Amino acid sequence: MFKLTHFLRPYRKNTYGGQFFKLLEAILELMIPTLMALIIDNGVKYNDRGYILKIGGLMILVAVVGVGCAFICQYNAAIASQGFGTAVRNRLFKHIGTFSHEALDQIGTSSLINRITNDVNQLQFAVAMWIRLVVRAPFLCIGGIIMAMLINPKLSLLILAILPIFSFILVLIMRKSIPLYKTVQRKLDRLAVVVRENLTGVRVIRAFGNVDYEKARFKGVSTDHAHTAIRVGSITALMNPATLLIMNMGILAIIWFGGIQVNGGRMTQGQIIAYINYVILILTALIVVANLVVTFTKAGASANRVNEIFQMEGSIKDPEIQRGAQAYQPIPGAPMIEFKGVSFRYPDTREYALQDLSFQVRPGQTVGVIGGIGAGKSTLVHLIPRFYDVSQGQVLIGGHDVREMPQEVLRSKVGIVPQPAVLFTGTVADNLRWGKDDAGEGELEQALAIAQAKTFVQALPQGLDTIITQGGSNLSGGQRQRITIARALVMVPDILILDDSSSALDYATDAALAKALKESTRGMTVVNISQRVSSIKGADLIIVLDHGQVVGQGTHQTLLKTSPIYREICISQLGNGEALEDEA
Amino acid sequence: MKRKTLGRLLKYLTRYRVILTLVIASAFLSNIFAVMGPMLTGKAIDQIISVGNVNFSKILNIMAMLGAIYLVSFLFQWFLSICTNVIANATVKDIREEVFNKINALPLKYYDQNAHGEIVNRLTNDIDFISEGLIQGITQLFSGVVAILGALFFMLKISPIITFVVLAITPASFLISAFIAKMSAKMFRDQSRTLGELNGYISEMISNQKIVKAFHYESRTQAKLRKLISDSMIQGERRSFILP
Repeated sequence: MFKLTHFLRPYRKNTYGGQFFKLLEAILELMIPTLMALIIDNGVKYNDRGYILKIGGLMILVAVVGVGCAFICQYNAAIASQGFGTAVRNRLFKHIGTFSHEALDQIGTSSLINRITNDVNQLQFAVAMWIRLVVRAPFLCIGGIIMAMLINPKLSLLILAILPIFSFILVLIMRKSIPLYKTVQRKLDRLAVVVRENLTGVRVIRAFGNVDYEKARFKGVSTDHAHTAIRVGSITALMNPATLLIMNMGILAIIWFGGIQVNGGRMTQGQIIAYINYVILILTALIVVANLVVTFTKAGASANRVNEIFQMEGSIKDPEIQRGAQAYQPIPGAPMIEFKGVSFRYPDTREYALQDLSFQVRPGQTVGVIGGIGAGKSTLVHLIPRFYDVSQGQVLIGGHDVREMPQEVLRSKVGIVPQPAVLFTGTVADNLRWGKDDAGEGELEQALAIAQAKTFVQALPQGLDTIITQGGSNLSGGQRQRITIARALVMVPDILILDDSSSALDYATDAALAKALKESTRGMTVVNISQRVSSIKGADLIIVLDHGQVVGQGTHQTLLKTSPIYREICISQLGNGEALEDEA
Repeated sequence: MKRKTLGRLLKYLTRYRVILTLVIASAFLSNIFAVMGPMLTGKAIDQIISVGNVNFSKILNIMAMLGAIYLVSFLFQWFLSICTNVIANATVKDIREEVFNKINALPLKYYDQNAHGEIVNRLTNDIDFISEGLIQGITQLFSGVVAILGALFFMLKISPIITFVVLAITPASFLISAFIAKMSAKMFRDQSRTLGELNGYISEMISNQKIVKAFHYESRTQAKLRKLISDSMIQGERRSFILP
């Protein structure tokens, strides 16, 4: 938890200032019972109205100043805790930005989101409580004991007897409940997992008629959660009544022994009342301390989860020696993309996703990558913008090893159309400008035209300024795909990667897209992944992948002759006639 | 809270009529006893006047009575606390399952149009707030009413004049707390809206972090986030300034 305290440093003034004013308030609060004793013993007893008014006025003044101090503390605590939360959130977000795909896969997005929202909130709350109560509660406790001892040291032996019993009960309840709190949180997480699975898998669940099963499953986890929550509640339910009981019994004892003291002339009636008030003050402060322990336990767990993220580092790092962007221009004569004996294995898996891949693509060429599901097609293209590092071999762009290029330079050269086609909340234009911040409307329209998206975007109610809702749900799958293609085209990359980006297009649009791409992207090297032969048939080079290995390389014509797998795919998709007609 | 929402919440509670009756009864009893405490304590202190003028036998009598009262009050309070907790958690479980079943009956459009993170949040954290609210609401509502009436009764018995002075001051503190409640409710709404927006943005960007990276968009998302956060921060500051 303390590793995060440096985020609080800029708010040092607010932190200490807040604590100082809270301390002031506590001091004032400690004065009240003594003032009351004075009123009773000197004012009420002798019917001295002037004295009562004088001390009464002083009490009001003390109370008002106390409230003022509390407000100042509150304000400072708010500023410091919010500032702290903001700083942590910003840093976390920034740090997550440096994660490689590998790290993202490992920690999981929902867990990341949870940490940056809920956990940071929890920490923020703990900081506010820290400022407001950490100084005040122990001070009231100790100050109360001192004041009580000043009134009557002998009677204070009573406090020394009550305190251990009181603390023992607090500790006992907390030791039982704190681990259970963690269990409750875990069960709530479990609940969230089930909900999430249901949301993402809704289509499958409905298609297979599993709704009732899922309902029963949810009922199971929610019942489990409720049971644990009730168990914690039943334990903590004892806290307030039990502490109150001990406090009241203590007060009874004070009245009795106080009576004896008064009888012997060592104490006054007003002092007994003041004494009782101090005991109440001490014990309430102790309860606050107990609640603080709960708050900080929760915060500690949150801090651990947040620190875990800070400690994680992306495995993809920029090279140590960097030159200007100019230095990474393609070397004349070198292939635009070259894979040299590349093998790749995802972390924690045994099998290679790609094995011993070698091929070259010259500038301006179009490569088609084809293969079944799990053949390694997406993995292959993810190595080009260095989302992952190869396990063996080398990936070269324009003759430079991708590991020797700064990521920013590398990624500005590569435009990728990822799968699935995700758009972001905002207008169509906002989404397109992801490719190039300052792109003018003309550039956007040109990109849309190539992507075969111009017509339907113009037909949208607000054209380029139409708002895209949640993930692009107001567009069809094909429309989304075409906008993501345009988004990559706006940046005018050296290499354009299409990851099965035309799967939702009809054949005519797909063909028009292929033609437009070929005509208007002269000089752009295109890598086109597809499961459709028709999309890649015209490519300069086709790579056939099967279980992570290259099983064929060449043009459509040559592959039909040399690769049985390719031939099989062609026949299954195009039919015997068309496939063989091409061959002829 | 809208009246309709409150009505719906109460309907869930009626399922636990039996326990609820027990809760009301024990809230009544524990608080009646609790408010008797200070009066008797006062009486005991009145027996302590000055040197050699302390009526120990009377103090002992009152103390025996007080001891019994505190013990009974303790038992009822404990029972009340356990019952409330059971009701709150059971109700929340009911609501949660009903919401889940409802979502399962909705057309697929709902799934596409709403951020999944937000739905999950509603089913987990938001519903948890209901449970916290119920626990506080039930105990404070029933206990509060009994405590106020009981305290008034005993205060009148001790000194009608002082009671009237206190009653005269009460509307003022009522007005202040009503004002604070209204302000904070509005701010809570505003803040939870900005917070929702903020969390929505964070979820969207982190879920699609791979695309963010592909377009080297990290610094721009960071700038946008900073702006959203500073909005929510201003509201958060206002809110915690008003709430004690």
